[in-house]
Amino acid sequence: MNNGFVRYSLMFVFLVLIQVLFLNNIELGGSINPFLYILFILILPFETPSWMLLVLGFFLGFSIDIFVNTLGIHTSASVFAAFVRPMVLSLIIPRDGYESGTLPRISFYGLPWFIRYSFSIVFAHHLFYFFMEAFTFSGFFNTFGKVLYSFAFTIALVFVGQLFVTKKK
Amino acid sequence: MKNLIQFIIKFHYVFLFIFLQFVSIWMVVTYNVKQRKGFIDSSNAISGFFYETYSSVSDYFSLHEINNQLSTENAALRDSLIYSYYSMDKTVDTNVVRQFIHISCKVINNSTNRKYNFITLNKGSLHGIGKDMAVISPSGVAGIIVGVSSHYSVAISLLNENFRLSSKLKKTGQFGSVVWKESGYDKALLIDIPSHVSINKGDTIVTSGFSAIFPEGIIVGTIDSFDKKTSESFYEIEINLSTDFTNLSSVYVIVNKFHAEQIKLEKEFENE
Repeated sequence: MNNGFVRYSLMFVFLVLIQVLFLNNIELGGSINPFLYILFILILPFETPSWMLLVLGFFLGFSIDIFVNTLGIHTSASVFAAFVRPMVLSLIIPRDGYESGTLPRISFYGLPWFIRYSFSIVFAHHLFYFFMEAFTFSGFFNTFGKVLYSFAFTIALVFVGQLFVTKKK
Repeated sequence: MKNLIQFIIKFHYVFLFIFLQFVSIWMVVTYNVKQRKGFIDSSNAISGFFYETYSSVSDYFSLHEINNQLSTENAALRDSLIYSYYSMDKTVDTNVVRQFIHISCKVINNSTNRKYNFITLNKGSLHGIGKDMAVISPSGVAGIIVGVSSHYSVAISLLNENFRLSSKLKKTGQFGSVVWKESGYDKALLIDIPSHVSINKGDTIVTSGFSAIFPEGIIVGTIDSFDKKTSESFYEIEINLSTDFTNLSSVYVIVNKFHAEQIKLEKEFENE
């Protein structure tokens, strides 16, 4: 538990710094940033209580917001992602359930499972974020386009990250 | 009562979600209204520190281009010095009082791809920077300071939907406002120019100096295209910004020594 705590704290700091120092400076197609920081919500162990997910989501989003001057927008999107996670997990539960000691990764539950898992949470997050940023439903397709673009980049990065984890094992 | 408590325990997770979401949305709304007050912004010490460390590394990669930019500007400034004019008599006009002071700053964080963009600078109140001061790049207008801490300051970028700048056509002196509506990092809109004025593609737009923030005559950009709808009495003008926001590195903050005086005088009549 203690070891895990340190590891996840480091991961938190690492993802926030990667996000604000590098990814926010990538501008593909004019206005598109990947939001890799949401990976933190994805990698938390199955045993994480739901209230803790929400609290962590809150602080994760808040840390990003402080750096990019968009107070509240990332916070609410990542709280939403944390809220969705347990529901997604129970919707896509494998036949034998989630075994204790395993983590939500490709190496444990296979590619199709991980695709469903990561796609739904990342999409929920991006959808919430961009509509929160626009704060209106006018220009729906414009905003939705941004969601899809950004989504594609984030997912690509999430999978690149998985390659590293799998190799190490 | 027991049922109620059980209910709350069972759905604690949903309640917590609603509570946290409420807090977030409250922040979004508060922040949108009081944007100019710079609530918690990146002028705070922690993020300022990270951005400065980061930019001290990343600056090396653009040294060459920045040197060119600075030396061009130096040359232009030298041109305007007294000694570069040939003069018949050497009298110095002692009636001139200095109104504007330039403070040179480095940009340590900047964005161009959001709806509300900001610029973080490496100097703050200790260096004499305060709210409502103009920020210009070597090539034109860049933003307005909205928040300062002792070592850092944050400016609202021209690329921000809340930004509005009083400007005029250099040629005819007709004045309007420059605004930005997510029109890309190199474009902005000039509004409120009446349609009876004759304008051409390529006309220069400069600051009007009305706001007591920007001095008069600082270049904003040039007209890219314009459109006159018959029913409207104003043009729709798109302008090319002269400042390259994707490569903003050294900027000047302009201190107007008469700012307080002008604002105070104008306030007196506002209430009447």
